[in-house]
Amino acid sequence: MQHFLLLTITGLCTAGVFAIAASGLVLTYTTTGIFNFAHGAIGMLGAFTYWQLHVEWGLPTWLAVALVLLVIAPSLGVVLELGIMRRLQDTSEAVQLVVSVSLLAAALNLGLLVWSPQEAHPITRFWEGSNVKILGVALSWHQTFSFLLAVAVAIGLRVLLYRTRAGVTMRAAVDDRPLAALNGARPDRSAMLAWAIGCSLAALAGILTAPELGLQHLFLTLLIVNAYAAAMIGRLRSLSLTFLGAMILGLADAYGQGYLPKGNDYVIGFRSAIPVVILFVVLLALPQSRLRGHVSARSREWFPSPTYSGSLTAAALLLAGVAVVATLVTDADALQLTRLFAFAIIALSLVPLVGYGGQISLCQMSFAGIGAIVMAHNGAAGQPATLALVAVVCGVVGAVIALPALRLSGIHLALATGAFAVILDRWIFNLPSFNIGAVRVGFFDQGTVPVHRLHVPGIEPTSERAELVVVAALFCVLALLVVGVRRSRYGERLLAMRDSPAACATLGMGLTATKLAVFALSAAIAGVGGAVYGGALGTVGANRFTFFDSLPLLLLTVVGGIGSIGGAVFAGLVLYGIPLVANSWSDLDIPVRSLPGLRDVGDLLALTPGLMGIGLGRNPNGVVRDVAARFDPALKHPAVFGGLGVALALLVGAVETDTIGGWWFGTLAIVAIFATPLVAQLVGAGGGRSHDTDVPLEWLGIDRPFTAADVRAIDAVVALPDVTR
Amino acid sequence: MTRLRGLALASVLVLLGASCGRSDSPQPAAVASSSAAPAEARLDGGSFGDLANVCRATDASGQKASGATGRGVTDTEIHVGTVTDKGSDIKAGLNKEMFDAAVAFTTWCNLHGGILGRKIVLDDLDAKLLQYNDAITAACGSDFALVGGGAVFDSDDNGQAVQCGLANIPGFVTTAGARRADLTVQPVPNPVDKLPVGGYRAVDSISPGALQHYGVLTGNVPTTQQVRDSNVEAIGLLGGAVVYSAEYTVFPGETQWRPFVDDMKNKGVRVFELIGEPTNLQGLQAEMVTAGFFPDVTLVNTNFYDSKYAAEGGANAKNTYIRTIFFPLELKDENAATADYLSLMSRFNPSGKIAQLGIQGTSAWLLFAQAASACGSQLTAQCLIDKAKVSSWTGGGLHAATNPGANSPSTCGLLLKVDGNKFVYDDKDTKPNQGKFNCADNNVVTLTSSVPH
Repeated sequence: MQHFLLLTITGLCTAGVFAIAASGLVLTYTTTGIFNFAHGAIGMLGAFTYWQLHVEWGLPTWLAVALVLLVIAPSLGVVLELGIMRRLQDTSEAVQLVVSVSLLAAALNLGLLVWSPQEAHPITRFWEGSNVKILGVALSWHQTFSFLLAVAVAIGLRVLLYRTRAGVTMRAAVDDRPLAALNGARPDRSAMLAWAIGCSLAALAGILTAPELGLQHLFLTLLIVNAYAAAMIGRLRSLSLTFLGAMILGLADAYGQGYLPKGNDYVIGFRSAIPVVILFVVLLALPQSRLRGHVSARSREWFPSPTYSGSLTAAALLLAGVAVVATLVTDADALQLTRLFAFAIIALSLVPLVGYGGQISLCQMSFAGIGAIVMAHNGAAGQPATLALVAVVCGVVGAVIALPALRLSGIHLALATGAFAVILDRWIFNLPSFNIGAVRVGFFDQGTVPVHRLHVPGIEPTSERAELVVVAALFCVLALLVVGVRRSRYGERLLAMRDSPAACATLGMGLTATKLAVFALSAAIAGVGGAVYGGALGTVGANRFTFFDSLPLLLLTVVGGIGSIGGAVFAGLVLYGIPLVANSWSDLDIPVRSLPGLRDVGDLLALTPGLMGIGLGRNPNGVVRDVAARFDPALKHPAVFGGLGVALALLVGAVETDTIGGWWFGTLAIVAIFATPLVAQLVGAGGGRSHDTDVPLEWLGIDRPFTAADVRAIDAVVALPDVTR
Repeated sequence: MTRLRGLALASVLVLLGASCGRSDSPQPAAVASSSAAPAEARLDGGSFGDLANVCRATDASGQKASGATGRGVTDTEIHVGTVTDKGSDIKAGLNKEMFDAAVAFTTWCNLHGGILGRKIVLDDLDAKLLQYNDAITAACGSDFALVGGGAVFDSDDNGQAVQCGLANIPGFVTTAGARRADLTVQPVPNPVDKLPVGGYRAVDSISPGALQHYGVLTGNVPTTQQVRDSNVEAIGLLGGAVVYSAEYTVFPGETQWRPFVDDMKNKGVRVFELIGEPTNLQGLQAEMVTAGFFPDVTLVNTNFYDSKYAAEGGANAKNTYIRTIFFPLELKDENAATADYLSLMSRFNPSGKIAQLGIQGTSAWLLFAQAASACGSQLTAQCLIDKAKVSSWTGGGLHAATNPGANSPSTCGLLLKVDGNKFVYDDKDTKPNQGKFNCADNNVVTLTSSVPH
């Protein structure tokens, strides 16, 4: 009984911190519609800032806490709202999610740069050493205070939302933003206030947790995952249900800790997965969300449909390029490039799912992990046939996951797939192998397993360069498959589902089969990618395929352009291409070491994807389209494009005859490619687009009658086909 | 973003077991002037601790070594790699002290003529935690041997190092595979079938009879589980009894430590051991303060010999002891080799990090230099390994004597007590009988049932 009491009381104290964190999460979500993945990272920054003020600079506790909670954290919230979140109106949920994930990455990196994990950050509890006895259980004042504070926060927020003008405005903005604005409310101000309070609550949770569990960057950042479940019990709306959810969570955590066996390999991982299991169950129990009807009408995102001829040409050019590069690079670099393409295959799996179908998934790396496991246990000789098995197993798992998640969409679907990923990486992937009947089910053998490379008959399996070409070819084949899906009737249905699920349902289109199929297809591609990714890495463990690996995958693909194959290539390029370039640059010894906290160029580059993601609000269509648009004039000017071809051919010739080295080849090739749009501009390509009338367009037909040339000019400006012919 | 990529590993990291002691040890402000002068003189004379002529241009008969006797070996050079995880995104600078020591040692060694005239060319093999296989692939392309390094996931190369004939004299090894790999000689052995138990014996003097009430807590990862299994078997062999054994989740980490404390209290744990990272003990001991319960003895491994732990968790560390076979930095004035290590670092790599693992790496480099010199013009991987298998090794006096030849750990050890924010040598409970160490043959036991297959 005493043990039960103790578990209950300590569980409730932990629950207090969860409740505070979850309320902040709910408040920002209800007011702005953005689920802030960076909530925990902001809490971490708050805790470290408190440490800096109190421990390092010696400010009294109350003053340090007040400064963080009332000045610094709210200011951060306001800055985030003004600088980033406000621009996310009219973007898809995938883009909004990616922006907050980028913020998480940026905040985490900032924390690591400013407060080195190598240094000691001693921190004591409030009223260190003084205890209080509740029902015979000794508790520190700090813990008791945390719980009381959580209750106070819950009451305070309730009063704010229901008894103050600002609160009523906030709720009005949630219910109907345009209507609230029409009635003289200022939704932007409400959003700013919500972000300020949200950040402050995150910081409070951080400050309360840090003395109990240590000032650890990652731990504080990730702890908040536990609060997701609490927020979801409150359906991301109700603060009182969220509070209740936090209590349930804290108690489940404590009872699991106290009563589940602590030496059993099958159970131990389950204990840490309890919060996400609850999250998953709660999501499944959610009532069916209303089908959205007007998503694409507001969206600024648009991806053109790829053509077969263009795609085939691109694939051929890519393969030719890879074949040339393969002869130039070292074995180690070839291995790195192989990983680039393997990773790009995993990223490719997101294109039909998120880009076409509009279904957000945060568990693609988990599918990849399953692919790697199947390859490791069944592909001892690296037979390509094993890839078929991989695709089938992952496809089935993907469909099984999609089944319960069918009713979900948007952020709920993202969290459900995320919960699945966490259940896998905290629990399932770490299980010892077991038998179901005659079938041995093995995972990562509680450590790492070797994965064999693909062995295509007739191609030397030990050569890193041959492997590079094989994996690049596999990428091209799968990319063409995805292009095929996009251009098929099924692809049209996917787009329709993304644009307006309600319209699809009205027209009698079955969303169920469409969703199941796209999940299965996506999981199969991710699994195949994971199998070759594992082969390129040699040895893999569960730590390669976690929820937190799926986040950058989605981030980079969205930044690249989620609706196009280029986005997938971009993801591979950033993750594996940039480090390659950074390595060769670090030999040049660019003096970034003088900047605080940076070791080399790689550190600087590590920050960029996060920053790119944050910039997505401005350009939700991704980097690749942006870049491609710049090449448009060059493509329309055969002489310039041909010139590029000749220049590249000359460079290849030069490097093959050893006239220049590989480093010079790379540098000059990049210069040549990026100089092309400039050259095209200089020689006047693309100039034909501007109209050549003598009066401003809007005065045509008024100042003088229309001519055929005028109509052509107007057509050109509004990008309509020429109708005068 | 690459940092985020590996997040999941967050705390699976430094889980090195009994004798492999990884740590960021306390950093003395400066080398004490009293010992600096003799240390400089020794280093200038080519000696380190009690080892003379560590590196020199010719052998006793005036001959230089020559011949391209192996990969990375020429008339004038030997290419040697030091593997670390220092470039890790998640744990930036992990094991960096080992590479820093390698830089200082090789600079000093080459200044004195290298290995019989061959200069050591140091290759930086950064495994970055998850890229051990890549590091070994690189080494297999150019290096003669691996010396003075260590990596957390050191069997991720699937035996590639042995297949390509790479000799290894590591600073530490962690995984069961690496702990018994071929072509490896450990200067500070950490075999899977022998365990130093001097620390447990010392417990009897601190709290008689306490070993009958032994409790252990470890992270749920294979490396530490293996250490736990070995320790539990050893407790049985010593006549003790395990009353409590539990695991905590390494990732994402425990949110509630109190139930562990309550369990331990109810089971009457008197000797407690935590196998894992210091931050976990910090969380646990903070709750022990609240609950008002502390075991008579809390025993931890050398990875707690870390100034960060002392600063963050020292205040709550009651009855906490660290066992080690290394001469503590706190006693540098009483030990020539420790003073030499500090002098070596301050003169040849002043920006380098000074820590326990750097000392461990230096011991490996000294053994390499001695063995490679003994091979002379017949320097092959096999010769290096054969000559490194000496039966007694102290790293010039950096640590108590080990037996690398038999891959047997030291029969000596000492205890440090955590005292506020610092570590103090515990003379009373160590019961030294050889210098600062307590040495006895029965300080090492042979394991059977807990040896992994």
